[in-house]
Amino acid sequence: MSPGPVHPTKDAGEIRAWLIDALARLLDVSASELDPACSFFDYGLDSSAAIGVTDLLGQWLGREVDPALLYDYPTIDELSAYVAQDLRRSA
Amino acid sequence: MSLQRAAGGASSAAIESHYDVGNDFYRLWLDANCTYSSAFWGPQEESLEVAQQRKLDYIATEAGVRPGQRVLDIGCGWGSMLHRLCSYFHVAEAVGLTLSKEQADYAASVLPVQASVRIEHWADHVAPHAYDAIVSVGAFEHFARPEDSSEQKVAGYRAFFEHCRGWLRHGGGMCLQTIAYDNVNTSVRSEFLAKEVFPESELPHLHEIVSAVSGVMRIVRLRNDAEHYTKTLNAWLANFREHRAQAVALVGEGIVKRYERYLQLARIGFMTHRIALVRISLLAPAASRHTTATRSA
Repeated sequence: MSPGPVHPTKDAGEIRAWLIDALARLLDVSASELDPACSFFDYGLDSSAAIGVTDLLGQWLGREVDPALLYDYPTIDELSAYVAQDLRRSA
Repeated sequence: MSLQRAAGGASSAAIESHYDVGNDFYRLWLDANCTYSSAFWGPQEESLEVAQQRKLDYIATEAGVRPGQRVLDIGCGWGSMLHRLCSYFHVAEAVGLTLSKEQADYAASVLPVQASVRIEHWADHVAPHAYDAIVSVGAFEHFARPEDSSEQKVAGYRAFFEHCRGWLRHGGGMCLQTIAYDNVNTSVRSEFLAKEVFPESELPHLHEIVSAVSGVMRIVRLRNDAEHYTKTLNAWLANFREHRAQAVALVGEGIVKRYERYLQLARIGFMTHRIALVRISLLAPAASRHTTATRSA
């Protein structure tokens, strides 16, 4: 058994950059048009699209991400900060 | 109405609420032939028109359409497939079914004499002679309701495939294109699409389609071309942006916003693999047990 985290840890900055890039591709807008303090739902996402986003995030992180997090942390800034903190906790 | 409820799927009113916004509105952002379903994109850069034509040709070819044949198009929309069947595949007769009066009126005004359009639910269709081939693009999405259980959905789909087998000659071919839920654990429906865009309709799961067709017809080929729909939606959204002012003048800001959001959410669904674009090629048994069309309702 090797010690250390099962999943490589990403910091909030990396997660934030990934979310901006992913949302820009999904919404077909440039990254500069996205406001990291703006709610995902203000960009027109609904619950089904939210699951799509958290699925992609989970694939990138190598662990499941609960879609409900988008409701509790509804902006890029809030979600990236929370997920980074959660990754550190579980590392 | 009661016949349609007995057969399952969305009612005429629900279908019309989506498709009868106005033909001029759809003509602003669909291709020149008003094909309102995913195109079939090739490896090179090409126009939406070219990719839509490839889709029509793929579906007709997979159904085994040959010159001089009789072909049924279930959910014919504005008639782009019927037109292609007559002008390129040189069929003797092409019959289209739709529930939308606006679509039927438009199709009737532009189609050649070999084509006819009936405002009729598939469950009510009686074929005077067997068809050689059946095509259906973008209709199957409306064959189940949100409140249906998976068993009810499969039963409704099976009834559809049994009707198709009954309309086809022995060994006749069929090709179906539909959106379906992809192979995901969670199948949370888009509440926006369900309420605002496609009321009374529920998408099939891929396994429900396979289950429904099992023992009725043989599956020859099955493809998931989700990326084709992403690309098609990109083209529609680009057209939408280009003609936005005209669209608002025609139908108002509210409807334009609703359609923009709908196209955007659908695009996200395909990109995140929550929704699949299924193209399924089928063959009726060579020695059919069922040779004449029957009504289920």
